Amino acid sequence: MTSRDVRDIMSISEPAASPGLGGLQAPPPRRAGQQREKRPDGITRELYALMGDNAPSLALAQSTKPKFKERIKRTGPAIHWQLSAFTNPSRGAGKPESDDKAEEARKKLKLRHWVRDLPANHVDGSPDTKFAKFNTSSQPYSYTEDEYNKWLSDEAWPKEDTDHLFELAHQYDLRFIVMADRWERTPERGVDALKARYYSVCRVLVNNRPRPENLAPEEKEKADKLRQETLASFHFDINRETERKAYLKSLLSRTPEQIADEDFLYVESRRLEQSYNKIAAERAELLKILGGREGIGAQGGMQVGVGGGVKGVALGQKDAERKRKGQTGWEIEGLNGGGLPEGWAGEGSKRKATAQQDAANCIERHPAPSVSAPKANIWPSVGVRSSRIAPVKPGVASKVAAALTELGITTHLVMPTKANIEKIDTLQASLAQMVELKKAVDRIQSEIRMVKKKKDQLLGTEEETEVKKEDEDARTDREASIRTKRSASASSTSTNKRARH
Amino acid sequence: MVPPVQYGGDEVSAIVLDIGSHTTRAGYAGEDSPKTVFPTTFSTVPGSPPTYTHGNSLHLYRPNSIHSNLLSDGLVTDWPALSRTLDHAFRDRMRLPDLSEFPLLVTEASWNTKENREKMCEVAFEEWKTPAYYTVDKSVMSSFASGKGSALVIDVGEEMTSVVPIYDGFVLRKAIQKQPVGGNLLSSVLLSQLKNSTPPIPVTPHYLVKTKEAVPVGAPAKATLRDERKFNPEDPNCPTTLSYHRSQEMRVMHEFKESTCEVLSGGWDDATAASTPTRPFEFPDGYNALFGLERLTVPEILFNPQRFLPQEFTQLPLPASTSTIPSHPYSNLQPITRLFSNSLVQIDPDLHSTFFNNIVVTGGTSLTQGFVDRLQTELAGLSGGMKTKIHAASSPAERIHSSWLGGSILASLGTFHQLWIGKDEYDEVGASIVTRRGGK
Repeated sequence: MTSRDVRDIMSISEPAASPGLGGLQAPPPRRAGQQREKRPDGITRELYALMGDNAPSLALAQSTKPKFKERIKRTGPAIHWQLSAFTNPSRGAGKPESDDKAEEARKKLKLRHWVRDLPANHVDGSPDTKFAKFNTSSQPYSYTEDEYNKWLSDEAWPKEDTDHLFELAHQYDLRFIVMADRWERTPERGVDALKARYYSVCRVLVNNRPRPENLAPEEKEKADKLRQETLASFHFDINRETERKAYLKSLLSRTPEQIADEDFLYVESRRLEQSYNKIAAERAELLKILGGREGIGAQGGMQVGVGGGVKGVALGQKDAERKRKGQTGWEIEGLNGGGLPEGWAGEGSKRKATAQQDAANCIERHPAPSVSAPKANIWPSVGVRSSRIAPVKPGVASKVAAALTELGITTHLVMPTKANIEKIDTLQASLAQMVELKKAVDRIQSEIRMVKKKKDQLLGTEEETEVKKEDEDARTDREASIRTKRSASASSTSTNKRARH
Repeated sequence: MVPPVQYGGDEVSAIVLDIGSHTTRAGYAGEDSPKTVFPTTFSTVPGSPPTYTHGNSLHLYRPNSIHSNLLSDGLVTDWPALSRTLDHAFRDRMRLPDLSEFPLLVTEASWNTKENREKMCEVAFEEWKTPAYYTVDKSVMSSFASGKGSALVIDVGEEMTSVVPIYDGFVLRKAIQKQPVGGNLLSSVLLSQLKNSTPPIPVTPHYLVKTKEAVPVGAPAKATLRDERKFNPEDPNCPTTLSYHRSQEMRVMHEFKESTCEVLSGGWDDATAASTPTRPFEFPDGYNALFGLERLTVPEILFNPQRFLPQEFTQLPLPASTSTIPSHPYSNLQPITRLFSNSLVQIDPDLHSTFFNNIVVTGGTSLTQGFVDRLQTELAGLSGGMKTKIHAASSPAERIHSSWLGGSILASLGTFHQLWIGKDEYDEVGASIVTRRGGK
């Protein structure tokens, strides 16, 4: 069927005969040799013909023929599977003949399986070693009659029992759990009893069996070492094992309530520990604030030079360490915190300056930078004194500055003598300390207030809290003032309270 | 570098046979489901000679037929019937004239006796001419089917519930716990409860119903019965025997149990039980009703027999058994969790965590809705904080046939072939070879 036929059926006139253009536009005669547009693959001729002259507006998605799944291409000859009988080397096949008839019969079993591409020289019924590598054996010890009589008799273990034990050990490859389960003699013996006997027998055997003779000396040593190792591997302490198992048993037989209890205790102890750590940290913090520049716990008699502060403490400790090591500290740092090492008077100079001379010349010496500083800058450069004022902690800096302004003091000194600098430095430090203490006191007071509120909520009825509330503020103030004096201990008690709630 | 996975299979066209107290399965090793599955029960029509029927057609009505089981306590007691069963399995179903080309792997209960094991070996070599034979433990096979060498297998089957610990593929026999609680007991209790309810609900088995009509919920059944088959215990000439009637009633009850019963997964609680929705069930004669409480109390017997087992059942005698491993008697049945903890007490404490982590649940009755969840909840309480993990196959077929499946896996392994007992060995040593070999 072509487009013409369809038009015919549906009585549509030829496109050429459209009104208005009729006769004027005859279809251009197809030129000889003009190729019709190629029919795409995958569309039947009939369907394509229906489309008529309309070329599809969209390119067809599938321009190639739909493909079937590819056939497996096999080159070469077909694989030849063959049913072949095989014997099993694990059953003793291929081993020399023995007198034991059962053993011989065991070798004979021939099973059949399908094998691909058997070699031409394959003998039906030959051993198949494919799975032989999985065979394992722990080769337990055994003893002879003589050995037993000489070394191994034990009153608690009659010979029959010991024999039975070793038989089981062979049969079950030293799986003591199974051996204890299959134990058939009386008295009943547990896993540990069996292990203890087995290992003690092994130890005796290893110890007493003579070493092979005529060994080279180094081989002898090796053999001795090996023997020691084997002995160690056979060590078994039955008491310890029984005790361990008793513990394990009691651990396993805990009821869910006990387990919940233990978990609760554990969590609680962890919590206590954590709150203790927190208290300790807070207390250390407070002590640091109270200690100010010098800090509490710094060595007595420490010389803290201008601008030392807490760093000075650390430096002093370093110094102390160095002294303990037997060094003088001379090489790098000057004595008494001098800026220049005493006696140093320029490169190559032999003259030694003394403390008196320095005092006479108004020379101040400051500590040299630490050892790790680059060589070129071993000695501090000259600087203005005011640069040695310790900076105030950024957290409190603004408040300290405000306090200074309140007092009408400026840090830009007209006369920055050593004494002045020291004074202003001390003033700043005390101000910083004051601000920090104030903060701590505020915090602790608010905490106390919160804890009290909580306590009242928990304990008191509503009337009680109201009664209490009346004098609460006054008392809080009084307490606060007391607590400020000994804020360290106050903080610890308050945090204790918190921990309890 | 990860070593390449080694394919350990080596097919020697072995056949695996697994006879359970409800179903017998046989098929080729290496396949994932047995070739043939049929009821272990068989029917006998007396006469000379008597007519025996094995397989699925035994439920067909035959006058005077007697239904009996060839197992008791999981052990074979009726050897001629066993031979006929094998005949049905291999000749009728699998179309094998004999097993002369097929090694045979047979499963047995963990508490099998030496005599039984040797007898089975004899049957395999003498009657079936198998070139090689081996016997394995059902529970070990179930644990192998779950891919475990060490596991504690809880098998809740048709006849028994058993808890068997397995270490490295060996059963720890001293720790086996078993009792005669299973699908059969649950169905019996259901039957007696329905019959004794007020008003009694008549259980009419399929064989008595000729035609039936649809009736509304709770309305009496409108069915024409086959009066000539009517069971009458008084009449000695009645063509229907008690055993046939009973077996057909139990079939209805099995269906009832499977379609309605449910275990409360959070533990028994009267309020929860009362608020659990009812379920409909239609009996063969068309009677249908909604069942509520009984569908919950009956499976609860597994978890609390002291409370939920009716008094008349506590006097039942134990099934006859020659095994040396005793069952708990009906008068002193244990909850399933107690069986578990009783078993653990016998086991070295070092292994407890292994066993808690490898609990394999198998058997048809374990498919009761909610059973595994409930077991998980109850065992978690016993574990003393150890991780408890239950491995239960999600597909019902795998759960029911797990011991066959394990056998199928084992017999297709290349490393297993050293264990077979060859025909030559049997001829040389005799049937005692099965007990002499250390495999068990």
